[in-house]
Amino acid sequence: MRTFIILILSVVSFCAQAQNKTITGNIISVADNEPMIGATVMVKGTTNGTITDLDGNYSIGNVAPNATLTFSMIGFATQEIVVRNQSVINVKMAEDMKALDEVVVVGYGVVKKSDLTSSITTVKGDELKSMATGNAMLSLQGKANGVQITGAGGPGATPRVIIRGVTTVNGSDPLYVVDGMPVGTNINFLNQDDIASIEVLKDASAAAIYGTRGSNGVILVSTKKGKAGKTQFQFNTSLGLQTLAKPSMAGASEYEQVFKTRYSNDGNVPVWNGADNLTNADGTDWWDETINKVAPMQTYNLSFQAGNDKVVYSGSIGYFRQKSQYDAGYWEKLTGRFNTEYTFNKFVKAGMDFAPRMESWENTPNQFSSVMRMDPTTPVFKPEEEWSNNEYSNYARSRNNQVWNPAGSVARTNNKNTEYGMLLNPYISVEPTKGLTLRSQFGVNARFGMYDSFNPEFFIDNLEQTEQSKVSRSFSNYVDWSWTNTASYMKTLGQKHNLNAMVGYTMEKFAAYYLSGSREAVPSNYEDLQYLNAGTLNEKAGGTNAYNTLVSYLGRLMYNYDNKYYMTASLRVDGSSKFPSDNSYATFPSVSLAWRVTGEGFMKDQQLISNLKVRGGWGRVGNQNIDSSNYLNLLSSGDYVFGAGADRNVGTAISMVGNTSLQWETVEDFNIGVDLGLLQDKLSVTADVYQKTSKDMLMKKENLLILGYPMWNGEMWSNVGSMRARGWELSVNWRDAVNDFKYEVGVNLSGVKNTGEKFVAGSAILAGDFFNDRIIRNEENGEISRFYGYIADGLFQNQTEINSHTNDKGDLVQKGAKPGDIRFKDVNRDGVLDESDKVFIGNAFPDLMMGLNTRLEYKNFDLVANFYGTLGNDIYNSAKGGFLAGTEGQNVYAGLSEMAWHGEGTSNYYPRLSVNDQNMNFRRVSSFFVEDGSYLRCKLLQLGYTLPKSTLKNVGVRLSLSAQNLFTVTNYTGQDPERASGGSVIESGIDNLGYPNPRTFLFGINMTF
Amino acid sequence: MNNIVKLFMAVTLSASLSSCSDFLDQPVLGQETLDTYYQTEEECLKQITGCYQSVFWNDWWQVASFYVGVDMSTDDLWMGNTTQSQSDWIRMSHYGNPKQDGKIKDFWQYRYKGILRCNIAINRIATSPITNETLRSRMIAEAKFIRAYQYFELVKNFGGVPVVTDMLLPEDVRGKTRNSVSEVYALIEQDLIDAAASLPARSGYAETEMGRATKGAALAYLGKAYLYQEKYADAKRVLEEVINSKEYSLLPDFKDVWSVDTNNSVESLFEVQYNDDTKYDLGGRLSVVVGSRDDSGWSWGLPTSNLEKAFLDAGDTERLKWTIIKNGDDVAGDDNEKAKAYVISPDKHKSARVNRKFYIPVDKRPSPYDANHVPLNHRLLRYADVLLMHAEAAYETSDEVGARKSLNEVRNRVHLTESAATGKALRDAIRLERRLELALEHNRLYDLRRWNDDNGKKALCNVMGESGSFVRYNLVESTDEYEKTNQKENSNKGITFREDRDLLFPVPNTEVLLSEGVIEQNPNF
Repeated sequence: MRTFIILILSVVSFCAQAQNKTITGNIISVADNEPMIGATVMVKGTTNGTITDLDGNYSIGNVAPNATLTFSMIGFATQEIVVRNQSVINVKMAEDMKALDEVVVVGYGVVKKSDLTSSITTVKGDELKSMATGNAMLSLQGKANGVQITGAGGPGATPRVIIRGVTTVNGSDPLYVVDGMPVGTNINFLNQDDIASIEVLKDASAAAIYGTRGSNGVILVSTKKGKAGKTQFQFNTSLGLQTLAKPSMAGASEYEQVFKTRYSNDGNVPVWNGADNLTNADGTDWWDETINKVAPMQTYNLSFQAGNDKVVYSGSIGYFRQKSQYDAGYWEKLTGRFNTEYTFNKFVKAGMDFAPRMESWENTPNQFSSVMRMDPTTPVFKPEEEWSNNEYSNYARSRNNQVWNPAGSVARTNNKNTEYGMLLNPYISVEPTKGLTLRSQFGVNARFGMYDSFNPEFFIDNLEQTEQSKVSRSFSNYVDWSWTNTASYMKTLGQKHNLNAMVGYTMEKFAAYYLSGSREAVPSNYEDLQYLNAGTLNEKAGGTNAYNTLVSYLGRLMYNYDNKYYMTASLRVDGSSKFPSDNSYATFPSVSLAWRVTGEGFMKDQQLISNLKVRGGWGRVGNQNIDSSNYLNLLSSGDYVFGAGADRNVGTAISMVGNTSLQWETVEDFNIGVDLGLLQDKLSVTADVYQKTSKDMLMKKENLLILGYPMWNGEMWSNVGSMRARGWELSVNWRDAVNDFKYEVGVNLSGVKNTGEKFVAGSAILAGDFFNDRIIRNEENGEISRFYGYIADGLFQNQTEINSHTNDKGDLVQKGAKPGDIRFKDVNRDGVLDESDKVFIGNAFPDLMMGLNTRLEYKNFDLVANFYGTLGNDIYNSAKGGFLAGTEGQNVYAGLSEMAWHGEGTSNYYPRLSVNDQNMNFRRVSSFFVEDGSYLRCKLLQLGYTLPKSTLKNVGVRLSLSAQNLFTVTNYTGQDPERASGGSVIESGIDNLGYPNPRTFLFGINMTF
Repeated sequence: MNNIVKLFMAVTLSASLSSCSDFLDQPVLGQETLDTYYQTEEECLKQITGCYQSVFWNDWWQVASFYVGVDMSTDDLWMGNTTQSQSDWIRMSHYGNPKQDGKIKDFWQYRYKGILRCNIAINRIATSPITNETLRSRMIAEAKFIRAYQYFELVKNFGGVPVVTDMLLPEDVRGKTRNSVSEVYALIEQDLIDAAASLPARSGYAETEMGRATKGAALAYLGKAYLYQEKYADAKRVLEEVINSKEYSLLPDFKDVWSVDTNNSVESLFEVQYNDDTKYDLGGRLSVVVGSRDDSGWSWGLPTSNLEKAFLDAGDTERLKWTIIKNGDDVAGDDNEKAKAYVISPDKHKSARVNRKFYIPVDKRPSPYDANHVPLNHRLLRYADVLLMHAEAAYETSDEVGARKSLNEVRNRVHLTESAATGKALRDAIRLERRLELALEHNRLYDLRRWNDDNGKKALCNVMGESGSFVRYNLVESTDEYEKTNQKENSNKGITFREDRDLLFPVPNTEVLLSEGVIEQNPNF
């Protein structure tokens, strides 16, 4: 039969031979009207073909008039044009949106996007690269729906990533898997430019294949691979400046006034040091003295892809450097990557990804709190006649509070950290028969770190000094390996039964090797002496090894009938060294189903809906994200002195009490979702609802002090109970082009409610220290991370109001209160203000999280504007109290002397100034500190211009100007509403004055050649 | 091709079949675990050493500075530091409400941390396979002594506290309430009785073991525990046992009582052992904490003129100069130039006076000085206290002769006239003697809290409060130039004292919160 057809065809082509002619033309891209180099032009059904030259021109001979030409290029929609009587055929090729996202990486394999049954978000590397950041997650903010990402501020800080709400109290960081190798919960080391795509496995049916590490979701990162064809180079750079918003603090004379009023209001004499009635009204501006107006940031990346039909390879070199806003503190990384894959024959393929890197940094001092609290009447330096030859001793001691001179602290910052790392990922894959693939991959993730620090000797004051300098050095080496072996089999039976099965076995080991040493009393602060050998006293050394291991068996079966009905089931069994041997194994199953409605016959005739799929999934994932060996009772030293000679006697004492009943945390997850594409996928909509329930939640829980645990606050890893997150996500994307104008608008909306279900102790879990009170109370059947405290009900304006603040029996509620103090509600009306009057006064988690991403292109210009925001969350502005009270003599917000209550009717919000604060205005957890934390932030505004092709021959150049964190719309009075999301997830929404997110302006160049 | 597949299968399968349980067994390295401990005498002894460390811990902030705070809460000490924020101390010493203060929490938690060390030692040494039974019972007795000490410190400060006698998991203490005062004392008494039965006398220890708990110390603390419960006959009995043992006597010269050269003297029953080895943190730091700001000190806890007046009124200049240094004095016992016309700037120091007992002569200071290296052992219990407790117990059991004998033994040393007082005058003489002899040694507050005055109130209620003697003295009677002038610490200290609240310190707020109120707060805090 087949021979017959070939025969017929060859006859037909023979017949056409006579009128054959040569066709020429030019191929350009729709997107930028640039010539397309290397596009393939083929006469359909023949081997006759050519490719376009550097100007996009082609010429193909021997073409029959009735022949069809196919124009194709990877990533672009293939076009077919019937020749007829044309001799010049010019073509405009458009990018093939479908082709780009056809394949999706899943755990231990890839599947066609249309085959997905789980909730997975894919973000392509191209979508990330318009942001310049050190951590790719920051670029992902607002782009992956249901993924809440908050910046951490300073150079090298790790952003906080929460996927689909919070069902565990034990950290929210997802597992990162780079090219199949699990690398932990931080990908700071990765060069963002190397990323080809990021897949976020959001529901348990997708993440269950990662078992015990999947409960916070899994982020799969695929790096750019080589491709056959012409070698392509890219060079990208961006140079930028970061700035910080400056808070408005009181100057010297207002500080003096507030300071003294605090005492005189109490009938006391001010503990005031220094001259009275300051003439220098402004004093020292500690912000300007300590924090630089601008801090530079830069990235450079050079990469290439190349290959032929035997071997493909790609490589890159990248450099990133970010300076902190202080004179001290930076982070830089130099990354390299070389990915290669060699095809031996039709059975065997092998490859290796090799990514060495070097990171070095100086820890950024955290002086924001000191800068804002420091006494502005104090000069930066002592008077010159008191100077010594030790520069660190020449800084002045704060006159009126305990804050250490922040300029001095920054000057003394002296640490250098270097880490050399390497990700090595060799693999071999064998396909003995069609459909069966055996793959073995041995990944190594090694890091060698060296950390040096030097604390100089200095004397500013008795209370601000280091009597003996100290030099220390430590080495931490980590060698993690993971060995992954999988066998997968794909088969189509009877044309409609599509089967894809995978079984696997993995072993992983995480090893750490530590060594540290320190000495004191280095003879001088001279730079050349800042090494251990120079220390003369207190030689100390320490070191150990730490290992933990994981063994896993896994399997997955995917089946679909006629590309309409889909089923995926997976199972993973994990054994972990982190649990006592009785509890070391756990099983994580999942099942998911999908129906591709558009695959049905009845959908064939309509044009509106191009894609419609309904998905549902269930799965169970785990969490073992705890320190190793928490079930052990450990000892450390407890020395003492005995005897007439006062000799040291070596002792031991318990240093950790272990929890012998510790076991796995599991999260059970239901997900239902719809994928909808309309108008040839111009409009795409994805919607999901889910419920995640965690059982045996792991938490390092604070315990009663009467237990006598040596751990801080008696904290012990425990299975504390269960929690539930219910949420929804909706993404709507619209992309279209009108002539030269192309645009794309994406909106991501999501909401989640996190609820405590059952706590083992039966009691609430408290968190968030505030003067030994607790801000947050997590209760059974209540939302988590809610603030719990007194209701501040304005200020008492006069004694009459105090006297009338009684319960029904006439008991005076706030006996010692004075006019200007906060009136706290006696909620239960028993006439006494105590714990039972506390109520929930705020909620740290937003009702709505939103991301808005727009991209406009017009001819050579493109504009990107991305926004991110939250709605309905509260922030406990913990730091505010000090700036409104002047606690312990700290500096206050500018204007406080007028704002603070100083007579009837002067304020109903800002309490009177007082040192003793007998009414506990500033030491009680109350609604006074709770503010609306909703915000909308312009994460990125970028204008790009692509030079016309004619400007630089063979080199594509795009220039861009961008602003990150350009503006923020919020009512929050603290420095940064985004910063307040830090802390553990049951301790969210408390603003403790960390490093705010800088505003960054960048100039970028992208070149391809 | 087939070979490749076979090799592939062989390698991966062999790995998967190798023993996983070994691979998953990853012990903690470089650290001993309790579960395999207590196998040898050495291991048991090391744990006992750890128990001793928990008496005062290895730094000033866990518990040591709290004792200074205790004296600040009496008429003996001001906070005193008038150059810095006083918020760590003001609510405790001036009788605001310190329930949320870190000092209260630290003291409570480090006492319980010490109790856990003792509980482990007591329970594990009992079943250890060691064979030296004498050593076994001595070690258990040492741990019980220290546990009793820790509970005594808790009950004095907070009243009845939860009694925990084992290493427990959090679920074991769920719903655990505070034990009554008498239940806590029952444990203290039993531990001390057991300890006294098995501990060697002081003379039974080798020189190298100096500083360990002795039979005499156990009995003396037992006497103190009885005295605090007003079990006077029992107190008298055990204190007489200590006196009659002839193991202890008063040092001939009062100046040597708190001298860095007389650690573990004949007068010492129990003291925190320190050394000045700068390689380790095995020394004290309170000398720095209470020292003059003009002499490398932090100036917390400065003696009042009220205390000075008590010495002067009693004609007691000898103990005065070894207790209080006043601005401009030549420091007694320090020949260094810096100690002449000693500077305690009145604008920085409420009373321009500092504590002489913890003072280290300039030439005897370790370097660095502002660190945990001061080798002055902290005297927790000394023979003069035993004698005065005996005097009090004897008086309360109508043995006025015995009471006067012990009282006068203490007075004779500092060349004061023998007291011939009887009745309430004798009682008051003993009380005054305790104040003067033991000033700044962390007894005064607890004495004031327990002594009953003639008007039926506790003595503290007549010292503090709006009409208290100390408050009246400072606001009305005092003519002290320093204290009157420097109001950066208000002279009205104690005016907010409340009789229905302030005879105990509050339980740390977090303990009440975390137990959901099961551990109750003391009244009216």
